[in-house]
Amino acid sequence: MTGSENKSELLPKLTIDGVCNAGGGVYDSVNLDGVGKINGAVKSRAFRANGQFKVLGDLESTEMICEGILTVHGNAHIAEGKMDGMLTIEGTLDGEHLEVYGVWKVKKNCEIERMKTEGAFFIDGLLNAGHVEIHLHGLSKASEIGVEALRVRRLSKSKWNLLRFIPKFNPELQAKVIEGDELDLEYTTTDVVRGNRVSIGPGCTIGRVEYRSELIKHPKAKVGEEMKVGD
Amino acid sequence: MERELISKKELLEITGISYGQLYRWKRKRLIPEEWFIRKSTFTGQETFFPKELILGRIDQIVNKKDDLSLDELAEKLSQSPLLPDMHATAGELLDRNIVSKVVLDRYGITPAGERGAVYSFPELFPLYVIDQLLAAGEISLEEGGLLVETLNEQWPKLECKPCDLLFFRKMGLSSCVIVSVPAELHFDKGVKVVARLSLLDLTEQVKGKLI
Repeated sequence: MTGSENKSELLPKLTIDGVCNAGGGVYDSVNLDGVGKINGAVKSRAFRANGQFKVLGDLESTEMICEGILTVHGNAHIAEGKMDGMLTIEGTLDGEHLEVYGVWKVKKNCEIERMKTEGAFFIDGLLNAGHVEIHLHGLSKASEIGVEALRVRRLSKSKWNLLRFIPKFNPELQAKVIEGDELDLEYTTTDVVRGNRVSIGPGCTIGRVEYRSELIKHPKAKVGEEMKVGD
Repeated sequence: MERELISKKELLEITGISYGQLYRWKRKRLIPEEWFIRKSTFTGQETFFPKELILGRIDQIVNKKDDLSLDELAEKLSQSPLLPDMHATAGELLDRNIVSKVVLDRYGITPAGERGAVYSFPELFPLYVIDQLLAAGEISLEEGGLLVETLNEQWPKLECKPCDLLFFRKMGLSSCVIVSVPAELHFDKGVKVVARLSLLDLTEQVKGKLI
């Protein structure tokens, strides 16, 4: 780690203002404003994008701030990041601490330690995370979710009135399986929920719940089957 | 050779770990992606694991996680699967029952009795393999030499591909071959396959004993 830090002073900076394309590579910082493409993989310490950009390769960055529309054609590795707007990742996404506000899509698996998201998301693979806080404003989907702690809430509608691009579906979370230690769900539809302490809130439709220590169920939640497992 | 599988639910019951821990270890690369085997069952899709590997691995993690951080542990476990950067002295190999004295005396890199001799992983691994086969009574000490030679020669060429080691006999002559899996081999009638071992499984076992 120290080696790369020493080197980072020598690394070039990439700056785009306006409409421009650039090559990939290893940079200290990347500053993008406007519209453009990066033709290849980018590795950088700090990545900031403002506007509409495409990365035609993998994206790796320790810090990332992104506003607008960003599409990554490869895998993304972002240690710390805050994203506003639309984010599409064609490969896998992994990171330590991410905040995403808006609509985001990941085509493969997603591995994040801590994450907070408001808006809507579509994950075609597994969402594997430590602590997740989800505030739903649109239909969100993940094929599987495996976490330590998960909290799902519906956002009040007034807060998001300005943003019309969010799919006008019922704000809810859909997944085939949700597994985790502490699950606190609202407006969630799944086949199976397996956890230690599970709380099923209003708006949930769940095929089967398997829990170890505790199950709290809201009267308005629909649960097909309940099962206490283990000791 | 079918591996015995264990479902995720059974695994958590046996080991007493939680879903959160399992997913956390997966994120930290303590449990390789390939071990998560998806199969559809009558209750929908379920995840299975190779039983011996996963139980061994979880045992290692649970025992070591107090001494080492998860990241340190991940580093040790995730080194290239067939060529981990590990060393052990002859004494350690004996004490930890990785290699028996007979094998070490015969095929060790230094004359018998030197407990301080340092073995790298590629040097100690063939000894472990012979030891396993000898203990099972499948080969003789003489034939062990053939194995050591083959493994030493072919080891660098394997490039961490999953491989099986086959040991077979025909009309009293013994021979061994390394094949990358999955592969099916068909011999003539006179050939008797004495042993077929997965090198990946064996390296996992040795790593488990060394950490």
